[in-house]
Amino acid sequence: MLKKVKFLRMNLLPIHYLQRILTHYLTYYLLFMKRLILSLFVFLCVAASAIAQNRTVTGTVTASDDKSPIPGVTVRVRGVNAGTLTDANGRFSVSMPANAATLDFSYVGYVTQSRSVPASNVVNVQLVADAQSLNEVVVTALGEKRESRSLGYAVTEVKGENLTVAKNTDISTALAGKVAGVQLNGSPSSSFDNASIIVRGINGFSIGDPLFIVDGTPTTQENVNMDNVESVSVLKGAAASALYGQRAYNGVVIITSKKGTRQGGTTVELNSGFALEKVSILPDYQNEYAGGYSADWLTFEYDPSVHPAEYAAFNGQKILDYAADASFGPKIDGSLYRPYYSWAPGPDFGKLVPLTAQPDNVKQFLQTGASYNNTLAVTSGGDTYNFRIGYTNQSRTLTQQNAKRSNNIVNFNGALDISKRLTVTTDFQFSKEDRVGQPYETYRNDGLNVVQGFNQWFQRQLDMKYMEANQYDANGNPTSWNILGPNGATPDDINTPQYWDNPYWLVNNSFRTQRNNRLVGNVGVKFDITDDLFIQGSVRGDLNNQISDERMATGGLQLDYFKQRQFTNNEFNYELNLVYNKTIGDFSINALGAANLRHEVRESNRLETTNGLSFPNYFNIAASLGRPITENGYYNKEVRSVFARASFGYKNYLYLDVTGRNDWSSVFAPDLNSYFYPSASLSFIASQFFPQGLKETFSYLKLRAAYARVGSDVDPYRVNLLYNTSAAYGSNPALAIGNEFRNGRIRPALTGSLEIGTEMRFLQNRIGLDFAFYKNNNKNQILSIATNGATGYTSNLINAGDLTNKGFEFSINGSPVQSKNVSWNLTFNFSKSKTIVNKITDEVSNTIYDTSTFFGNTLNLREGEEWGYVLGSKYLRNDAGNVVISSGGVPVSNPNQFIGYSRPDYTGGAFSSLRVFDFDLAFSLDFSKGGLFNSTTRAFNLGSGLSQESVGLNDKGIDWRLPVSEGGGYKFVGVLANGQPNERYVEASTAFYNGFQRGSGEEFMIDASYLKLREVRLGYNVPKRLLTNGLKFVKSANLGVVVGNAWLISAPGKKYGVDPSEIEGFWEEGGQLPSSRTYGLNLRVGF
Amino acid sequence: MKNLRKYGIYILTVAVLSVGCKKLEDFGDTNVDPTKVSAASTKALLTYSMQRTQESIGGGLGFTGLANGGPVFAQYLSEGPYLTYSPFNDAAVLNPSYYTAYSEILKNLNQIIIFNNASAKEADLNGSTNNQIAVARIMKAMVFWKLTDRWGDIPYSEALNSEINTPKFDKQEDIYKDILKELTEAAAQIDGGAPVVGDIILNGDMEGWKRFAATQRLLMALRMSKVYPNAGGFAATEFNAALTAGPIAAGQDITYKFIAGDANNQNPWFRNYTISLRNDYAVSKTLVDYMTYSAANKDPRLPVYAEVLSNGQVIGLPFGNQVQTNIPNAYSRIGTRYRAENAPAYIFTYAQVAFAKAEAAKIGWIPGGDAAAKTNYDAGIDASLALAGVTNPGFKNTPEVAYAPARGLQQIGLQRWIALYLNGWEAWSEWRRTGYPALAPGPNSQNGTNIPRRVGYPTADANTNSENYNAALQQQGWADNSINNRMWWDKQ
Repeated sequence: MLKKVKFLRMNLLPIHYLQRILTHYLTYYLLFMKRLILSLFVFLCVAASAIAQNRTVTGTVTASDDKSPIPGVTVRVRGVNAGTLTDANGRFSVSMPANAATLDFSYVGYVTQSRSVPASNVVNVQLVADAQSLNEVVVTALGEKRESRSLGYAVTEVKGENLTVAKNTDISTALAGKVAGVQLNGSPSSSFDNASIIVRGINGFSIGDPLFIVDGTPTTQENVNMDNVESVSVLKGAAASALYGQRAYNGVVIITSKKGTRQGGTTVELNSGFALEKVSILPDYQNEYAGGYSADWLTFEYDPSVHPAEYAAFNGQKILDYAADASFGPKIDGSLYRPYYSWAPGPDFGKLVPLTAQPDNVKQFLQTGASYNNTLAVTSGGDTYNFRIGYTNQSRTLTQQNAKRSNNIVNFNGALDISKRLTVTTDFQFSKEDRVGQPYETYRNDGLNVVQGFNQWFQRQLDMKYMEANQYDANGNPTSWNILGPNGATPDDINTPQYWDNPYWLVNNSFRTQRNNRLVGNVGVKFDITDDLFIQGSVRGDLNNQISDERMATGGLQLDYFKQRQFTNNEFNYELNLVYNKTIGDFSINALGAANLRHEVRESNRLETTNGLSFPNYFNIAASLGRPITENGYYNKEVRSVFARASFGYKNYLYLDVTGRNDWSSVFAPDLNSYFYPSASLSFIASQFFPQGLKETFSYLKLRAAYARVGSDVDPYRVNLLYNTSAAYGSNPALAIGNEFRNGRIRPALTGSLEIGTEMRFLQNRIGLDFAFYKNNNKNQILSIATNGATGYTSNLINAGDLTNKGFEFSINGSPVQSKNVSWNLTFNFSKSKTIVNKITDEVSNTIYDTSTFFGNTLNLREGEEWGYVLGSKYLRNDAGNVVISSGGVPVSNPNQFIGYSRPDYTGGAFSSLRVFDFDLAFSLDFSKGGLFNSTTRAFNLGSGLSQESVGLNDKGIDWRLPVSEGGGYKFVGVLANGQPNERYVEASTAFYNGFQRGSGEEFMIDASYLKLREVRLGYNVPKRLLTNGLKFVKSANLGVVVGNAWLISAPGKKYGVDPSEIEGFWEEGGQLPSSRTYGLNLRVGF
Repeated sequence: MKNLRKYGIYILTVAVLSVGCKKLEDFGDTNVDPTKVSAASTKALLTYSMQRTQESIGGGLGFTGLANGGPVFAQYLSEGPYLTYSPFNDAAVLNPSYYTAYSEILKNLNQIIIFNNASAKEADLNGSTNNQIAVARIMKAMVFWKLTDRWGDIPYSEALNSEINTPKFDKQEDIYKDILKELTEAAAQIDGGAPVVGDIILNGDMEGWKRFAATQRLLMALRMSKVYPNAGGFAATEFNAALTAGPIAAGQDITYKFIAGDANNQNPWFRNYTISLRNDYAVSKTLVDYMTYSAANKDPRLPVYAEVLSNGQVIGLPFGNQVQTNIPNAYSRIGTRYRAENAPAYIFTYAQVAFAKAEAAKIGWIPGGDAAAKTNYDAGIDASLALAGVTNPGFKNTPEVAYAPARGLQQIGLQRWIALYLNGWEAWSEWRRTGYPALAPGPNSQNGTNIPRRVGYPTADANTNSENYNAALQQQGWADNSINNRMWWDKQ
């Protein structure tokens, strides 16, 4: 029967004509089915009596200022549980019992009106805009929409259209600079990586990611389909997030998907983007010196004991030190020489070519990437249902060769009223992602991070086109530019690769692949027990299955291998919420009682071949010549929670929220696994008491304060000591005791967080200001403290520590121009956060958080210091401040000195959207000031003689690349131990490799400041008047030109080829992938 | 409000139902990781400790010492394109961490003793309690000896205690004396019960472990020759006691055996040259020059130690060259015998024992004078040639090599250095003690004319254990953590 009703209702048109029939039908149906439903839904018992009718009242609601109809106004019959909403034309029709006489009309941003119903049964109302405030509604914890004035803590909402300016597919990058207190922790733009964000600085010993919630379901940011995003709310403080429990401690990003509306009818939207991607920043390379370790030309020396007779003719020909993976070689002067490939059998054997510069060789390797991003969505709704179905297809190739990702996403969300009181809702997203050739990052010796090679170990004169065209030699083996060379070598040995393979061959044959199937979604039931009380139950799942592999092709420098990894991560949440809403006179109450069960299971397998592959390029674990490495992983965790919230309001100007939550986490010992934490927040609308005169300039003032505590746990299997198996020796198994000392008595950690803030609006809301100050106190956290290794353990898991994170943030938004044809909105935000380590433990006052791959720089947590205290070797300076130079002529380094702090002093951003007639122009900026990052790229680019920095004249005016014996050499400015000025010149390769690159780490801790124009979009709204005749079916169309990752306006790291806003690690890069810029077209059409 | 209470009860009921009617704090075995072993076994701990002991893991103790510069410090090898150790100024490699020795090796050995002392089930069937404890003690003694010889004073008596996060640094003299006591006691503890299981060095040969302990005592006694030089003194007495206890004899070399075909247990030089295809090291010109006694007399071990190039030559790379240099075909790399997949690492060799006895005889610690010194010197050379797979009984009698009392100590020092080929840290220690053979830094040295006399403490110690770190510098009379500081036994 139920099914039949649905069928009928969805197919009978027009709705206006049939509405009445259906209402009758449903009423009788409900009465008839009452008993049955009662037995199905225990809560329905109070529901049925409400439905009875006597007269039907109709009317229209318009706005008092421009007389336009207002859709969506709540029309409520006072005293009984009946009501409706106005339709798209502002019209309504409501059934009233005989004893009711008054209707209440309410709508956000307008003054609520009450009207008694006349005998005509027609009520037309004009609503007056509420000048006191914009009663903005924002999405808060658990997806509840609440008036922003009632909140005692900071929530920032960003609308979807402001996030997809450049059609970014990554939510973190899309949020860059748009939310006060949110810092982008970027990742290379020329990779498939997602960036991450840091909300309100460092809140513990380690950097924590915020929790991502999509339509109420906890998930990962990979599951955010930007084309579907209606709005994003960022809950920054603990008070805002106490209801999500421990995982929300680092902030919550709540994503609300676009949904069908019940009045909107059916629309089809197409959002189509195409973009090209080009490398935008590369280091400043030198193009004056070729490969080698010395500027003197090498020549071929014919040796009859190893060389065939025909080589005698080559004697004395200029050659390069092909085996050198550095560019300290001879000057690129056009002289004829033997390129590396002239030694390989084939048409080019014996060829002499002029030595010419190849300034664009790296650029030639980095091709133009292309991406497509198309979404087609259908939205529909009726009185009792709404839904949206979307399909998104994304594909992207990178500036790197052989790198492709494609993503197919299907979304569905919908709501259906099964009865007037019972609604089922669901949100689902299935995505299938396929990646080939995900670029490798960080420092590697195997050549797989190809760009690292270009910036760290390369010869500047190399011709990439030749390399691309000649990836195999005459015998079918991969070629290399980095060959042994002919001097002293037999023809068989001459072409033996030394350290690096042909990069084209490598990326085309040795790469990784990854396939993900993700499913995130929920099914929920909401039942209105009374008009004031509803109960809601949901099951939410987040499933991710991934298979990835990694291959090293046969024939290159590296032993061939095949590795495969497979994992499945499942998280399920079971929720039950009871919500009560009531206004009694001047008081309002909104209360919630809830229970949640979270179950996370992760399983993984890892397989790797050893000792090579049995057949060339046979990429299978079965190909392993040695016993393959096999490993299983498992993760199982359950958290049970009950929590409650009560919000009290008084006369729309004073609000109090209190929450309490108790968690039971499976990771602790049973007697320690229960923990409770509360929060309270207060909001006061002071402008309520302003005299009318003041209100004209100072329209709105809200003061707010919140205090919260949040409890936290750790990963499973973390509290008890581990025994780790290791590779056996023959038949002898090997086992070690884990290196983290654990006594099993770890307790949940609780953190306090205080926040005060204000919101102000001026000049009829044309200018808005939001300011927040917060102080988080983090005590007795669950810490893995790096211990003195002499204990036998490298770390100790304890409850310890005392950190304070203090900061403030503000945002200003304004509308300088607001007219019919021109409107301009601007927002600017700024934030500052500082985390001070007050104490670690009684014994430990310094712990090392991370050590750089090179130079031995360390990121420390030190008592009394800011989080991210960087120590490393600095130049030894004497009392007069001069650098001390060793007898060998290079600076003496002084290890373990303070270099600086890794964290920025402040961050922020700006967003502008301008509309002039049918054109719109939007752009966003973000910036960060201060902090340091460790640049391996710069160090090696210098140390290998590749960067322009490594070229110059010494103080005698002679090229320092020339040998010391010829007056060249580099002289370090400084003094010897005896105080005399250094007069020693050292060979360029020694100076840059040993003096700089392997010298002081301070040289390579670079200021991480930046100012970036993140994205620009110029759009054209095709006017309605053009959408006539054959185009009538098009409701709206907008064509845009977009530039993404547009312009790194200023950054100290830029001249070294590194964009500090997208380094691969938060304070270190080991071989940064170059930044890329996208240029695209974007078409949005509504049908 | 009445209704609210009613629904409150509903919701609580459902909440309790939703967690399956269990007690809220009871999660069963959710927190047990099924992919991990739930209990240790002493035999597996022993195997693991021994594997880590040989490996040249960063900051470890490899006998072959690839990652830690031992063979470079001893000048067996020179660096080619990437000068890292030989300029003697790179803070990152000159202040290596010793932590992994404690956490990967010593802790696990210590746990074997703890399990045995507690008669825990983890020790069952893995050898008699005494034998298990004895082997763990001897291995610990060996590792601690290698550590103190590289850094100086180190955490010892307060180490391996999770309760003491900032352990003090014991004086090297105290550590030496305690290690000697440990070795003596441990050898005496070995009983006739079941031999130890999981022993991948001596395969449960308990007599072999007695020899192991005696050999180490012998070499440690000699290491103290600068601080206790006199015959009849503390070191000489210990030396004689070790001789009585029975160090290894000819054919009883103690080695760590690598396994061919096993990527996890292969010789690190094989991994370096053959798997990783790295050509960063060549044999040094210093070694080639010392092994070329005259134009006519070239050491027969040379073409085995070093690769013979296509032109039939062995060419050594000058140590600490001023310019970066490519190696292959221009300079000889390590010989194939020493970089085979299963080429063993030498823990203690009979050659070492013989040279120690030769020196002891020469300095009068043991009777026999120069005659005894010559006998042992000759035995050492023959043993070393045998290890290199070379048969040349006449070599020891060639004019430049034949024992000459006037330069006996110098000859013993040189031949010991040659015999210890690739056992870099040990050879460097003997060079520091004896000054033989004469070594000089290369032209790119940033450390003046000095060759390091220790490695620096890890910089982390200055931050995480600063009080004891400073006390350690002070108790050794050092102003700083310099690599040029001399440790207790390395008296000027």
